[in-house]
Amino acid sequence: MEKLVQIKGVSVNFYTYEGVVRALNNLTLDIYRGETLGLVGETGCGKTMTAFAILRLIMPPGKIESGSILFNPNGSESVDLLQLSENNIRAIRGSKISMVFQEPGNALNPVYTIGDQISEVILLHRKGEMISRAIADIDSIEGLPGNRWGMLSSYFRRIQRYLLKKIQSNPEARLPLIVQKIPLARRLFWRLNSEAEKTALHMLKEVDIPDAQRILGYYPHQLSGGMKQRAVIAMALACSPKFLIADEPTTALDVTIQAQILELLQRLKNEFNSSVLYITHDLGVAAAICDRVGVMYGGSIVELAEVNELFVTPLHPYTRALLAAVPRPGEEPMPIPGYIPDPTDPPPGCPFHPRCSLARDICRLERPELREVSPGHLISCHVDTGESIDSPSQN
Amino acid sequence: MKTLKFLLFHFKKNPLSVIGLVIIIIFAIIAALAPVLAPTPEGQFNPYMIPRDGYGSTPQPPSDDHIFGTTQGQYDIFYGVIWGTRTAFQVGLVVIGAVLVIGIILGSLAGYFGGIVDEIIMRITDIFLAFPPLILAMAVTIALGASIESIIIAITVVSWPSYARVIRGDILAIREEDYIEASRGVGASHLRIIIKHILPNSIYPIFIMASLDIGSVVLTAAALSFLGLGVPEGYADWGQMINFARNWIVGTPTNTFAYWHAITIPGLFIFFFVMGWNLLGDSLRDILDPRLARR
Amino acid sequence: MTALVRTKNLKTYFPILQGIIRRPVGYVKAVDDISLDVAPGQWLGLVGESGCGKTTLGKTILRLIEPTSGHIYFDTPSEILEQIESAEAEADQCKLKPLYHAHDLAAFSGGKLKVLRKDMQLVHQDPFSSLNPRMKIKDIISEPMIVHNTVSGEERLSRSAELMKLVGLSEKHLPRYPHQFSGGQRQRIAIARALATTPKFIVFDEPTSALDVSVQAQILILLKELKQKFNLTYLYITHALTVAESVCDSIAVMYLGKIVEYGEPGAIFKEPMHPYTQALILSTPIPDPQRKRGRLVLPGEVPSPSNPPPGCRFHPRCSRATDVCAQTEPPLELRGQNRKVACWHPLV
Repeated sequence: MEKLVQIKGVSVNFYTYEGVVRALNNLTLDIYRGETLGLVGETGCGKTMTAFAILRLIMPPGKIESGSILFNPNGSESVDLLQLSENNIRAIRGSKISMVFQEPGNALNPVYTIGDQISEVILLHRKGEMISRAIADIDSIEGLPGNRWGMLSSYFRRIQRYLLKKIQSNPEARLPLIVQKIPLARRLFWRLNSEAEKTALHMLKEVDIPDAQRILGYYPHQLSGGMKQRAVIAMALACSPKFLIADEPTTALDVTIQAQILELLQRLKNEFNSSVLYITHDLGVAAAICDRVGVMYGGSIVELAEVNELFVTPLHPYTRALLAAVPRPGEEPMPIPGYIPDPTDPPPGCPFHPRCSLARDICRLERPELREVSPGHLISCHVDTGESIDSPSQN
Repeated sequence: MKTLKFLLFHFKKNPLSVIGLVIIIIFAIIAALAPVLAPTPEGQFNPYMIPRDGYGSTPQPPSDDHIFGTTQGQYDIFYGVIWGTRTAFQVGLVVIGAVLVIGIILGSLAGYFGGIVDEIIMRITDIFLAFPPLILAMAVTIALGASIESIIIAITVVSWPSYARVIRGDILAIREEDYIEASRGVGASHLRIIIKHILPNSIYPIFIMASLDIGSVVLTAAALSFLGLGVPEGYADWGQMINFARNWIVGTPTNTFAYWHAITIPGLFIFFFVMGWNLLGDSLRDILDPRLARR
Repeated sequence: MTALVRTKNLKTYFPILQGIIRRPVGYVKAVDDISLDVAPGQWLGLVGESGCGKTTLGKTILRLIEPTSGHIYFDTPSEILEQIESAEAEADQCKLKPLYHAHDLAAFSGGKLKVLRKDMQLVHQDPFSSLNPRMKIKDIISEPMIVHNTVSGEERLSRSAELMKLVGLSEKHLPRYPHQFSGGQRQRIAIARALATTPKFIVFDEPTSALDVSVQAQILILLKELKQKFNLTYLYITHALTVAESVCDSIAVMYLGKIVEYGEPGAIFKEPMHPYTQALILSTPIPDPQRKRGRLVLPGEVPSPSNPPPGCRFHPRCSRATDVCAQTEPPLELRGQNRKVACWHPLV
């Protein structure tokens, strides 16, 4: 399978008042075309930081120290996202790589309607398409017999067409930009907005929002959590991104609504043929929809494998402990001893060693490398756990 | 210890706040040392009355006898501004103190209990806020007669409604927090909840507002004195000194700045005093708010 | 049958006010006629999604939210409960009034309520907002002791230290502030505060939903130890059926202000009777690729509690609904030992 995204040795540090926080520590991860990769971990493990690093959303006091993220959307050439200019990465955000955030209420601007917000994304990245459609729309009217105001409207139409053509040939053209600033003259671009809105309506229907036409005019506070998240997904998929990052999109939703959204995401992913990086702390969700799952701890990946293999034969001690800590019917959860490490003062060597029952001397000294122990199954551990634990099955 | 480290860290980032603090400290020293810097002449009972060197109306320029010169009526400017510092502190601190107490009590009652209590208190504040502040202060001062106390009362009357409103707003925000409900669940009385839980969490914005306001209180007092209301004639008050200099701002036909000392010196004192408090208030806001935000 | 906590026909309605005069134009029926018993020593899980009224029910029992109507009995001897029941059956007002006055928590006023607050406590959902950020931990934990005057000054400090040890924290943390602790640690502090007056009954409002999986496991084990040690009774509110199935003795499933199913977790999990319970079970993903849950999609959204559907509240989303479901509400009936369902066409 082809690789869509290759994260190589990315380290991210945050320089805070309390000290230096090593949010990502030499992270290496590959995402293949058309797969759903789950990123699982607890608070502070760095999974959200991974998403931000890909989209270059890390703000000071955070700094990307090293590494590269190669992105290959078309199968032709890769580009290093960390080296792109601000303008170039902005062109990618929202169109080639999109993100769905955790709290749908926070991701939507409360003072704009849903329709406006989706149109904003469309006009940002698919402007050329909308312009062509608007021009085609004008051209189709020209042929029809006119009405009483024929001459006047034809005149206005010609102005609109002229302006649109100008933008089409040169996106930086000054005249249309100036016109857009003048309050009433702005109305000349109404065709553009209406095309965007039609596309937005189409997207809303894609995400199964009932009564989509009415929802276009709704404000976020008028929608329920599940509806808001669907709207956010519509925004994210509006430009058919090749890569969708979903950061705990269903954590804030009820379980039955979560099931609906998960099914929606799977369907859309297949329809749009995108890859999905699904970040979650819920192992159950990861098991339900992901093809491969990566477990993160202390800023890097500790285990990565196909979903079935990870849950049936987990090899890393942390993965096993995590699976044992999930409450199951009739069984008590098994807590992991110790606490999540202080991000400003992480333990030396392997980040998990203070809580690991298999820890040896080398674990205190050296941080283990991510190595492949069986095809497609990578772990980062000094101990060869395949032999030392009696039965790794967690059922 | 950690607080000190944090304060130092913050002051390094924002040197202007140190300037504000330094200015206020200088003024405080001046006010404390007033009897030393500008001794009251023998036999004068009330140290706040500025000594007059004659009864001429033209201000005299600075000289050996009068370091800052004299203003209309031959009042010594140096004496006036030094003792005026004390007056400024008095007016500022007493007014702000009173306003804080009244505002906090009424605002807390309105915010915590809501309902009809809230409505009544808010309507009362509405009534007070309906008057232009300076006009209302003038009316109160005139009604109470000319003295420093009437200025203090007048400005208090005019300023308390905003404080009550701000506290009420903060309390409304905090009232629904989980830890308030937890205290109710424990069985704490209303009084305990207000004093131990609500106020400590909502009071900081008020302190910031108060320190910024001391400056404007002093300015209002000066305005009242400038208009001739408030302090009796000859009282050591910056506003009054500007009042005296009123007729002499334009100077003589030949020299516009002939009487600059009469207006500029008291003016500068007011300017720096108010600026000092403003800088201090700004820095207080920066210190206290990010701390709250960083929780 | 003894019940430490009993609610009878409990209703909590929130008025929706509109207009300048603030007239009530409707009611949000958060808790709609719930009669529930919690036996002493029981760990009852109250499960449901958002808007079903479980939090409101928990807080109403503690009188943190005022009930609109109905009765609440706390730690009332069973003879008196029987007396009340028989008097209600006879609709004997003369007997009922003094009984209600003396025992019905819903009618208690400030002073009487305060005495009871010693014995019933609440642990909140959000560990970040349930502790006063400007109070030291030792003050937070000792507040219940001060309010109820259970322990005098000197002993307060030692009791606070004891409580911290009980919840797995060190007494070194007492002079610190909440923001210096992690979510899991804060939740332990909240639990310590709840234990300060040696209560009999603790309501937990989704205490672990804001916490990581490993921390949640630690807290659940801690709760189990404390319960055994001090003979506590828990009302555990959660939206995670898996958690309830793992630690609770009994589960009550709520939907839109009503209890739709009640029973033991093993039985409910193996053979759910109410379609909603089944939907919950099948919708909850678990990390077990062999048992593929998380697949069933229950259509539609939860209706607004201010305008619940007529008849059975679940009928618009139920695949088994018939005419009778749309017209009459099914009562919560006993089906087998210790199992109750409110459905016209239960799955079993």
